[in-house]
Amino acid sequence: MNMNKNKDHIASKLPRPKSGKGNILTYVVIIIVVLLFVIPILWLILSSLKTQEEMVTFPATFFPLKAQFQNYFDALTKINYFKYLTNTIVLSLIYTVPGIITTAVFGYGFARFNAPGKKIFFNILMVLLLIPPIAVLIPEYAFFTKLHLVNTYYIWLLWGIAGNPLFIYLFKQFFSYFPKELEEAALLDGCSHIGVLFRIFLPLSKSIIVTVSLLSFLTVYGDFMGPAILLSGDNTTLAVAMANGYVARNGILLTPVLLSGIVLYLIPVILIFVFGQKYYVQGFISSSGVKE
Amino acid sequence: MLLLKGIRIKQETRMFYMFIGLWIAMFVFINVIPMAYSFYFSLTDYDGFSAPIFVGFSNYMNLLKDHRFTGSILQTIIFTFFNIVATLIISLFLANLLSKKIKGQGFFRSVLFLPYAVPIIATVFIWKTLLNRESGLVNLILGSINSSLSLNILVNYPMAALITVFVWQLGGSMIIFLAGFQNIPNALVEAAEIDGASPLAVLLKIKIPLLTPLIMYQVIVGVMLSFSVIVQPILLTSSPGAAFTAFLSQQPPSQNFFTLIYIFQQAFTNQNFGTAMAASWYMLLVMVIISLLFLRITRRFVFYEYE
Repeated sequence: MNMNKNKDHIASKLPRPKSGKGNILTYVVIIIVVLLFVIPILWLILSSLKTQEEMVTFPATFFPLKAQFQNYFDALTKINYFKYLTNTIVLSLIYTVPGIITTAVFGYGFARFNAPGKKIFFNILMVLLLIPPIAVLIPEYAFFTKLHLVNTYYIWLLWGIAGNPLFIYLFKQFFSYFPKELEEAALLDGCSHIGVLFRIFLPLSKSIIVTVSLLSFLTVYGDFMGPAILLSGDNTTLAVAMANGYVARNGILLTPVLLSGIVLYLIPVILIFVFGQKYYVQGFISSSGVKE
Repeated sequence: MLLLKGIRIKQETRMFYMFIGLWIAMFVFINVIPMAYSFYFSLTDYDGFSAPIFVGFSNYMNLLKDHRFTGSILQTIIFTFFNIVATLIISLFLANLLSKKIKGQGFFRSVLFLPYAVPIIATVFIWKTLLNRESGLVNLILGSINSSLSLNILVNYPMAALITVFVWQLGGSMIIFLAGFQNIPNALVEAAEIDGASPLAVLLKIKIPLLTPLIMYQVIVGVMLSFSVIVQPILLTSSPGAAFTAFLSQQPPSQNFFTLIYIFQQAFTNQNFGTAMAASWYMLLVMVIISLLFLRITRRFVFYEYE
């Protein structure tokens, strides 16, 4: 069954049969689902404004009796919030920036050259996509301990340079849509393949660069187990510091303060999401192999 | 000419390895060597400090007799199954809804996709606050219906709670299915509608079969993701605070005691690296077997002709 692209196009321009009743039902269901998806975040914000006592009172109240903005102040001061936020951002950049360059180079290699052994290495790349990184974390921990790399950011630099298999795959897919003529002319003029990549391909690849940057940044920004195991003390990231730090002297967790810290922690994520969503979505779709 | 061709091929090979050489080197450095290490440790009594002593396959044998370990494998498989089924059905349902021509489609899509981007630690505490017995919203709503109604979901239905968290974050698979639905040629759907097929029949007999390759992909990725779950089950039911080892040593309810938790506790709480490594290899083996079995069973149903 070979679907003709043209026919498909014409068909989509024809008026579609519409059923009004079905449409209203669709809206009702979607709005209910959207509410269910949003309420958890609303509840997070409301709870972050409650007092410690309100958090353990049964039954709960929907709105805080009096909004405790103090919680946000406590969240920023109870732990060294800005220090850990800086750590988190630095770590994300250490992973992302070199990673973009190397994954683009690897992606170009896989997209543009044929060589004996390529198939094997490409299959290895695909298998790596399916191995949960966390399963390798303990062996890596043992190995990095031997190399005295534990509790340094070099680990993230190494991970970045090694290239996330997903990002290599995304670059490879993106580059393989470029016509061969694009590089042939440049190569004839004496440009090297590296020159083709950096002067011709990458300037045309802004969308995939943004996609990979966002995915890469958010991967490290949101990670918990990596920094929990490989970093300690002042070097750790916000995710770990928040989970450990918002405790009163008597050992009781300061839930509303923790929730305030989390709201602040979410702000960059939501900003990235709102402004970069187009790229974010594109990354997902091309990773699954669906044609756009 | 023939000679020239020969040189060209060689040059291309050289270029290929120049481009991916660093990747191969790094792959060996951060994957192969640690994995080899891991296999070696699995044959020793390594505790993280003193010199490892070779013990053969006894770690592997002992694990099979350890009910906590075998139980954790079983729980992981049960969780993987229900997690994948729930996520697949609901994300297919939502993707199908969103693929209809409706106003505000982009907005609805964004809102449903947003939770996917929420980091682990935030997700856990959001749901802990929602589901907990005293101050949770769920009990607030139940209580307003009937004051004697109250559920301790986190304690009594821990796996259901955990799966709810993952369903909330199904945005990634929903987006992929949505793209899949939008790629289905309208002509196919319209032909069926003209022949009098109901929307449900169109969905089940035309759309879903066309999406089988994507469903397969989601299941394989889902197996991997479900086996990687560790932070959520621990933090959903225990209190954070103190050092990381203290965090790890807290016991989630037995329903949510997964193999990865067992592995990390063996390594960092009990200092049994050898046992932890052997358990990791078992876990990897189980994942591979599940994935291969799944691919084998479903091979007949997958529809690959549609391009």
